[in-house]
Amino acid sequence: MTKVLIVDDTAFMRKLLKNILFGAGFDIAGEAENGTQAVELYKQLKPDIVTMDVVMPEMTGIDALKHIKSFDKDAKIVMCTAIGQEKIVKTAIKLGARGYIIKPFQAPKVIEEIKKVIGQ
Amino acid sequence: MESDMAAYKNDFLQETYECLDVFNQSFVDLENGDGAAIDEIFRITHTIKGMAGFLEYKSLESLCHNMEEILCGIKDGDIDIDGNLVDIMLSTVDRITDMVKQIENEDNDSVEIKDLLEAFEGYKKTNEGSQKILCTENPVDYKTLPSEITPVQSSEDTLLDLESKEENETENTCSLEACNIVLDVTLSDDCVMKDLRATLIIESLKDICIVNKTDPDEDGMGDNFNGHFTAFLSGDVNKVEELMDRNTEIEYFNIDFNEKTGDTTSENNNAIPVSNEKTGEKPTPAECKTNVTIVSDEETREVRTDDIYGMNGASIPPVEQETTTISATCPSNLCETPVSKLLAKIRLLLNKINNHIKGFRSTECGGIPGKKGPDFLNGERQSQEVKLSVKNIVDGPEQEIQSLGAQIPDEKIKSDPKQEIQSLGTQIPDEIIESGPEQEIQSLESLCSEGDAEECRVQELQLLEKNSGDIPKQELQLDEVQHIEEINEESPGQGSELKENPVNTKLKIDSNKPLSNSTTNKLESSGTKIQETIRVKTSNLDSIMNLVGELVINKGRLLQISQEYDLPELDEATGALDKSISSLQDEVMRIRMVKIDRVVSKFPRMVRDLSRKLDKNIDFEIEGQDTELDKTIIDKINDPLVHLVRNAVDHGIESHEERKNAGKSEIGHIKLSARREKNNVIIEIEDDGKGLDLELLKKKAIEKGLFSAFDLENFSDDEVRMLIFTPGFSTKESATEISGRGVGMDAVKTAVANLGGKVRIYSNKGEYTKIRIDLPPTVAIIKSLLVKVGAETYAIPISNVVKALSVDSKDYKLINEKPLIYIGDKIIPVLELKDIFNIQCDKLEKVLAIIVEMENEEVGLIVDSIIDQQEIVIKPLGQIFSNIKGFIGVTILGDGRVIPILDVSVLIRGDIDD
Repeated sequence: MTKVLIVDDTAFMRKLLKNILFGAGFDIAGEAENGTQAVELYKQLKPDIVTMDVVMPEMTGIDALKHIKSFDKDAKIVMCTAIGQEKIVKTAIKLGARGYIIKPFQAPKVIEEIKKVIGQ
Repeated sequence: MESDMAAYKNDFLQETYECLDVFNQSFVDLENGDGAAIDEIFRITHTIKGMAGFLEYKSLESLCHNMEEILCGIKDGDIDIDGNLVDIMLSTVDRITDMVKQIENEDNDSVEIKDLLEAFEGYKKTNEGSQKILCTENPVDYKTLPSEITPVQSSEDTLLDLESKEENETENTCSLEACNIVLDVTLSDDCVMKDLRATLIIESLKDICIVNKTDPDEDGMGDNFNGHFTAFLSGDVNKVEELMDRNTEIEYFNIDFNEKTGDTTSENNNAIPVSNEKTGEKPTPAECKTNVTIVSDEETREVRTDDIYGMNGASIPPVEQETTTISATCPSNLCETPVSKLLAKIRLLLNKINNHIKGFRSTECGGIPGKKGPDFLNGERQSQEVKLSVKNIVDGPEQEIQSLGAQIPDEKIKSDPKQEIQSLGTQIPDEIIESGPEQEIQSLESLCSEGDAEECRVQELQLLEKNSGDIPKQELQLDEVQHIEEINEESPGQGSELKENPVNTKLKIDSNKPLSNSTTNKLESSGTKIQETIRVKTSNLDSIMNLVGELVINKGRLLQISQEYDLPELDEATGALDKSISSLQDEVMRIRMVKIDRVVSKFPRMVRDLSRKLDKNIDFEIEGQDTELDKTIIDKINDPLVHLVRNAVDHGIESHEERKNAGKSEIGHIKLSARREKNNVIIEIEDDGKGLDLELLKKKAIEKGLFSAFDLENFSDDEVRMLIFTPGFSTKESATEISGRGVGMDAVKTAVANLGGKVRIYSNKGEYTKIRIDLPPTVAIIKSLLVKVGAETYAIPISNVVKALSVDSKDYKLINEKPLIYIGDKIIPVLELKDIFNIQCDKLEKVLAIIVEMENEEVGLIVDSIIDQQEIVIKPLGQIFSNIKGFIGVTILGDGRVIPILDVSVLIRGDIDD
């Protein structure tokens, strides 16, 4: 089963994503509240895919992406974005993010994107 | 779904309120020059926006979005931050708070925000520029970053990828003549953030071929990108097509394939086997789609149908013929020749057809590529097994086992996670368990299912130890040994056998696996993974508290019985029960404790706003914000504290001139401190302002007709200071909009008294004012004195009781027809509870006077006798009895009787209803 690491500083968003992904049959490997935790958990849990929020305390999603990509260049990372963040997410894509999901999340779109990235 | 949304709404409210608290503090930090605060403010705005978006609170979302844009401007240095802007943003925070309250109460966010949006617009206009752009980060090539861990897989695949990537970079600049594919992509209308999707597609194209040029180029795709782009590629057309097929956001795509630059094509053809190996998919004939010329709808569809079957595994003969057709249609330097109108039309037609086919295909294979089916299912089944085998073990170990399984980066595990999970003991590879241990495994498993995890783990270890005897060569790494020691500590007694010589227990699970690493990490990982806190609804806590209360009551009943019947066994049992209930009660109380920070954290913002308004310079300090109080008290102490702090700012601290004239520093100082002292929590609010003017207070009291000059002469200084807590007392000549109509201090005193606390005031004219609040840390369970009046029983909170005296009813002195008694040199008024509550019974000669105290006033309550001192649970009277005065609630005694608890403050004031 596909293991997902959810990274978001908001408990609300984590819960939302967890419900969406769990409902779609994914396994939630873990949750991180900031970039530092995300990198740490990525090393430990080796998830198949990561949903990465951009704006977070301590370490941003972009920095976490860079870190993870530095030791696992095949890491599958999907950025969580919102209107107004296009530029920064574009940077993330150029750094190797494989997809993006848009807040407010719509369950079918999220699942579709995750499946697509997993399928690559 | 309805209840789901309700749950989400609750989460939203909780999280947003937390956010709002941080908000206020961050803004104060920002003004104090803490640059990092802007990031925090931005993050919170963004968080609220995200949640509002999901729950469809449109105006809240839009307000947050606008503020976010301004914050971005500030971060990027496009907008200068000034006091006005901070004011606007603070009003935005207030507006957000209003909205959240509205959402909480009425489930809508219809609050007027136009003014704020306009204010923001003004700031944006003056700083037109890179408004939309969030924080720009310089792209950093991840290859240059230090790699802490070598890639897990370093198969030829990845090496190949790397090479091709480098190739990309070097050839990116080469002329367009090298390109053999022109890819036209139109994104579907419902695709959001088209420029991102386009970038994503281009980036993934870069992985499989060389992207020579895109039109518009990647940087040119901005907000007004219409979703259509052309890419000039050189590489394998099959791969490109495959990639395009996977992208569901693509409405139409068209590939113009030019064979004349066949060199690249043939090179890439060589590469095809690699890709096939990777995906296990047969090459699809790209030619089908490049069938440009005069093909009717039907024919194309037919071919594409074949294509679909081809994708599903059945091979079809490649249609070589049509490839030639296309090369004839498309001239060589295709990328440079302007695309003719005709070609565009055909493209459109083709795309439409393609679209139809797509719809067709999705019905054909149910949307899931066939090759993934079995793998996926298999994976699911395996994980179910995992769950089954793990289910038997109780919580803690389950976590560890799961994380252990999740960590080991080995193909073996992927193929059979069950094996890994049990690798600690039971089904260790054949090489270790040679024969026989199956029985042991079974017994182990049955143990597990009994839920005794600790025992099960000790067994596991014993098993390991046993097995290790067979394989002396393999030894357990130190980490593992440490782990064993830890388990031993967790289960004293059971594991003592192992503990005796853990280091000698040399065993290893699998010499090839890098298990030691993962085991070291294991404990840490479970540390990070398990959340330290959980959110619990207050109502849940309340009901637990209630249940504990019931337990306390029943405990009382048992104690009573054991005393009545004098049964030593019962005595013993109740004694034990008593102990555990007491600890349970303490524990629940502790859970209910909340840091006072929750209340005081918003004060700095409040002081800041007020001092700005009053043009005062005030330094506000908070001490002991970690002090804990019961949640009920925290909720109720908020308003009194707000009032006291406002008072300190408004009435306490003098204006600039006054301070200067008095020779004080221009900056006023207000300090709020909280601390635990014995059984009480003390909160103090101290300012270095003008202090209380006793003469002025007296003058006011006479003016207001509260006391006569004669009365006041007998007042001690303390009593005069306490005048400010008298209802209807205000010394300020004119009430300001901020504080002071004389109702506040009275309300403060009442609120604190209702919580079972006391207010005291210390002051020196011209120097300082200090208000001290003593609060009990909890309220729900109190100690009380049970007294008998006639046939009735009442409870008096022990915190109010000073002493109990035996008095003779003849000792009463009557002044103004009110009975008084002498105690030492004090005259204390007495209250006959019999009279107050109209209890019909004989008046006794000898009675007891329970001296109770409240706010420095003492009263003797006359009762017949004292029954006992007992812990009681306060049960509120509820709505129906809400206007009955004189009781703070009722309690239930062990024998089931409902007993009223006296409200001493009301009795002292004497405003009980007749």
